[in-house]
Amino acid sequence: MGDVTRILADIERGDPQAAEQLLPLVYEELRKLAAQKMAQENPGQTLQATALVHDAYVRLVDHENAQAWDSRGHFFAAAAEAMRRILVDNARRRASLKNGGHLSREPLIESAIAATEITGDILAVDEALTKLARSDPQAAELVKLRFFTGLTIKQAAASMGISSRSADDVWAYARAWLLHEIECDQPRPAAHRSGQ
Amino acid sequence: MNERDIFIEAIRTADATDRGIFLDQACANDADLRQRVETLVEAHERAGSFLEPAFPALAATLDTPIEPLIATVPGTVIGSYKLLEQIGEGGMGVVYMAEQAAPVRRKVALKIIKPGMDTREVIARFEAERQALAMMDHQNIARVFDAGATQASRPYFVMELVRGVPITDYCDQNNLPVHERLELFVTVCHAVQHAHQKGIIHRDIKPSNVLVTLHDGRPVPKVIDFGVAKAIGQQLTDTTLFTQFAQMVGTPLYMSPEQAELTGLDIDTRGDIYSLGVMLYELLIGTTPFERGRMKQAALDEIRRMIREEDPPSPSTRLSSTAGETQTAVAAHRRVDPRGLSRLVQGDLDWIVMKALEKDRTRRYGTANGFAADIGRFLNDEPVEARPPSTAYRFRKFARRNRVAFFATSLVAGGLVAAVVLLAVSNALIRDEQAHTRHERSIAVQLQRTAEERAEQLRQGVLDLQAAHRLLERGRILLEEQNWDDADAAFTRAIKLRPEYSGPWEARADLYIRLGLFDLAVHDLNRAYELQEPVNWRWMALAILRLNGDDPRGCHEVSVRMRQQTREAGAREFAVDAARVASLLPAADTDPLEPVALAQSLVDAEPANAFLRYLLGLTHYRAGQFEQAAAELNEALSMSPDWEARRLAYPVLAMTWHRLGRDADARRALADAARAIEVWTGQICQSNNGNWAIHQGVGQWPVRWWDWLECRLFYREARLLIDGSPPPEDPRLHVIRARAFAGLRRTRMALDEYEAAIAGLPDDPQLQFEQWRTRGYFYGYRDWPQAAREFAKARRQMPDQPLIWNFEAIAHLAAGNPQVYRQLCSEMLARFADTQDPRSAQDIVCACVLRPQAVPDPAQLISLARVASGMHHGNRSVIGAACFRAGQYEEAVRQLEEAARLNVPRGWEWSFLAMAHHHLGHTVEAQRCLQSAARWMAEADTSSSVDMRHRRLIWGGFTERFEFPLLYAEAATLIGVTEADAAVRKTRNQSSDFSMTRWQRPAAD
Repeated sequence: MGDVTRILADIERGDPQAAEQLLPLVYEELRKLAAQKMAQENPGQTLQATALVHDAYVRLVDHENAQAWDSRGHFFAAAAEAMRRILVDNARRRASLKNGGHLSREPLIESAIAATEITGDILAVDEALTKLARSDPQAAELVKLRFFTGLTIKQAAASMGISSRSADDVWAYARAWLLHEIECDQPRPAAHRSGQ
Repeated sequence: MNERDIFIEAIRTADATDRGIFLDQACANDADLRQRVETLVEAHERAGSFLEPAFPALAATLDTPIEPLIATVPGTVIGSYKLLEQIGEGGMGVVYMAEQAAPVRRKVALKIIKPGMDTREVIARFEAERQALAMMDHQNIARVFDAGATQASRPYFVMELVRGVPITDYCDQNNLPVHERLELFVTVCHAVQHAHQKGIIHRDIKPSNVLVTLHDGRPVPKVIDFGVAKAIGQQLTDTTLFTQFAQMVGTPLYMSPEQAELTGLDIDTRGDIYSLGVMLYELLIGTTPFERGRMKQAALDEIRRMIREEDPPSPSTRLSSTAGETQTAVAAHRRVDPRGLSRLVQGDLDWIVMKALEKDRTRRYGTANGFAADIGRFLNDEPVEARPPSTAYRFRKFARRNRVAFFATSLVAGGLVAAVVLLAVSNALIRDEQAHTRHERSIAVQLQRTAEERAEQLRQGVLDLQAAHRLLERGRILLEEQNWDDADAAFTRAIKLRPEYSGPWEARADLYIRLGLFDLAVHDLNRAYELQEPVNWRWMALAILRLNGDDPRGCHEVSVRMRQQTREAGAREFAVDAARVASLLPAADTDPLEPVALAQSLVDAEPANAFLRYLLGLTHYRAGQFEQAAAELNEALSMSPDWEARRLAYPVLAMTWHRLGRDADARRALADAARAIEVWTGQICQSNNGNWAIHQGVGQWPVRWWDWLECRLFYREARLLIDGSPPPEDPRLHVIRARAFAGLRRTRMALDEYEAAIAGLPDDPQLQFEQWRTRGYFYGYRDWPQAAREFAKARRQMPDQPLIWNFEAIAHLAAGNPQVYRQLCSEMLARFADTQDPRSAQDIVCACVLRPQAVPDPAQLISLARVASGMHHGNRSVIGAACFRAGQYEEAVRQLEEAARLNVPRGWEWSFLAMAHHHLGHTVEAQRCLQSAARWMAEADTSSSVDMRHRRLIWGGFTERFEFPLLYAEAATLIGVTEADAAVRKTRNQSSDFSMTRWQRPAAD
């Protein structure tokens, strides 16, 4: 448990390798939490991605020693990336199931993580996001924080160390960029689906 | 300026002309850039809620502001509710009586939760459970209608208004004697069971959540707040939150150890059993197991420790340590004197309560119904299931606790170390400048890949283990519900997932033992034993089953290990088992006097115990001390004429007399033994001769199975010793096995056993009936005409069972003989028209509504369906279907809609609704219901949820896979799906796939 707090401290001290260590820990914790919750919840119940991230935060980070938003920021950046991987992997697997892939009676653990708070098609968004990251990494980072961990603009801004106002702007840009990208990719206007 | 900056500036410029000028400027000579920004601005304008988090849950939990307290006064309107008056205030919040105006005008209870919760999360969690909550329909459960947020964004819950007093207060105010308290409590257990079957755990059962109201002068308990604690308290994962929780819920007095553990995640139905146990404790003797005063003074961690670790005194012990005055007052409230109360509680009731209060939840009652049944046994003066906790158990409790957790942790730890080491080695190799050669590098890469694969396997392994554990838990509940085949399937899947996890092997062995399939059981127990040493009684089970399975060496091995453990642990309860097992076989290489000494010490401690006398006699016999053996065995027999297991002594006595040369006495004892076994086996067969359904009655043991097995083993030994030949095989053993296999829906195996049974008992009409019925099951979905022939034979054998008529009629329908179907329906209806038995009525109606004009006068079906409704609420489905066939479409819609909404649906509601709406001219509704029918069929086939299971238990489930597509096809044809309606056509295509491939496959075998 203390590991994550220590890594966060290392990151703040400027250790470039520390950030790399964080991701696998957070990733593992999220999957573990998801599996655990699945084991306890009724079958068919879905888990909120953001709630999972929050739980992971509560469990991994020692609050006494990591109050600063700075360290939270690093944590959420890692969590966003981890959750992105989980959700995207999951969406891919589901897509392959739909196309006649191997059918298993036992549900994928992650398939129960519902991004109920997310509107949009995960795979399409992820693909577009990868492109955005090449031309505007900051905008892509903001989207990851918002989209995969459900941070508010204010929290995401704090986590990235920019002002709320500029985060608003970047967010508007990123949304327009991604929407355009997804639509270009798929000529039909199907990408913008309401989530519910 | 780059693209982003230009875009941002552009969207800030609201005026189109200004924006054009700005873009001209900013993009100067770059037409492409300008084009692109314009496209983005356009995208921005129609982005709507694209990517916007619809539910910013995290935001709320991380920085929830302290909300101002707004006084909520009568007259205030919250949502569609108008507050009338405050009717209560508890730890969690304030309860108001409120009036709801729409959609129905009614009075409700509205509970506003204290500030400090994340409202959105509370409501989201409530929403997640709303459907399950809506499924609860029980007269002893107050329904929860709704949840929402007040203007000050505090969560509130809307519930059925119950005006009552807490159950403990009610009992004391009315000086209810103990048995009336118990009866009231049993009702509460049944209500809780109902919720558990719907997958809902209460999590906060306590007297103030069990209110008693008077109905026609009769007390009716109502459990309130179902779903509320879960919505509020799911994420309590650390100490600070515990503080909040404790404040909120008011008291940890009723909290189970696993709740106090605050993993916060691992709560199941047995937590409620614990809370019920605390409540029963209080109902009996007026205080809770942990004293209120002590709890109040203790620090939080201390409270948690107490709940987790301290064993509370049994009710009678607690009572005896209470001050005299208090004792008198408590007793007076129960209309007895203090001595009387103490006598009443001591023994059975003590054990019942303490079983519910076990720290280790696997030792509590498995279900609320099981709890209630044991109280029922007490009330009927039958022996209760609960027993005083044994020392052996206490000794082993530590190792047993969190076995899965321990196993998972060690697995992860071990695997991680391996993976990390491999990674480190490979990294080192790769980095190592010496690793020049291609060969070495490839080794390094290979190692790294192995490490990664190992890590992946490891992760998968943990997931599998958790899935296996989940299946195990599910199977355990199914087992309690006597849903044998589903329990079997769950355990088997768990075993397949993680064959090296002993839990599922043991659980499946328990299942087979209950069914009397001892050969299957010993196989599984052996596998479990290879993985992990058994606990408690499973040692003895293993020994007896091995001996029964012709494995004396294996039995002996267990015996040696058990005695070794007894020496180490010195636990008395275990010593009994050890001595007993040691005497199963003639002593081989061990000290024959050791078991004698063991048994002697047990008898010395408890000289009046007839069983221990028998045990002592047995050990003497095994040690060759025949005189003493005869003395002890006779003593045992004379001590307790009504000791049910005294029959155990006969075969041993026969052998003893024989050794002493008293042949006549030996033969007499042998005859006694034969009679005893005869009676026992008869009782076992009698108790599971279930008629209406294939499950019924199987797995009920009127005696302890190991007593029966032991007696048979000794009888066989005695026959071999005295007569020189073993006793003839009893064909009834095949009957037991046949019914067990039928219960597991392994019809082929069941048929083999029936054949063997009937070879020995050729003239038993009941057996022949069962055999034909099982053959019918076997051929159903494979060869319907053959199934119909088999059911017909069974029906002729026992024509007074409506279910067999039902099967036969449906089999004919499925076989394509609608005339025979109609004829059978008419005959059946004529024959049973006056039945008052709900089950029979249901069986008849369910067959007759499948096709139009199945009977000459469909109106008759309605009155029968009303008889059937005495069974459970779900029978609105049956009434609705009957009304439809009788042409009463409006009533049909009313009943069916209610059935589909409220209860456990049978599955055909939507098809009937579609047709009824069509006849009433409601085209849109009819289409909608038809789609629902298709969807329902698809879901029902894939779902293994609690509700589906429950539904199957109620409805039987044999013919449903034929009924659903049949009725759906009727509805679809009637309505005539239009070509234009693509959506409907799509669902229909899907559903026809289902009907062809999945719905009509043969039953699992």
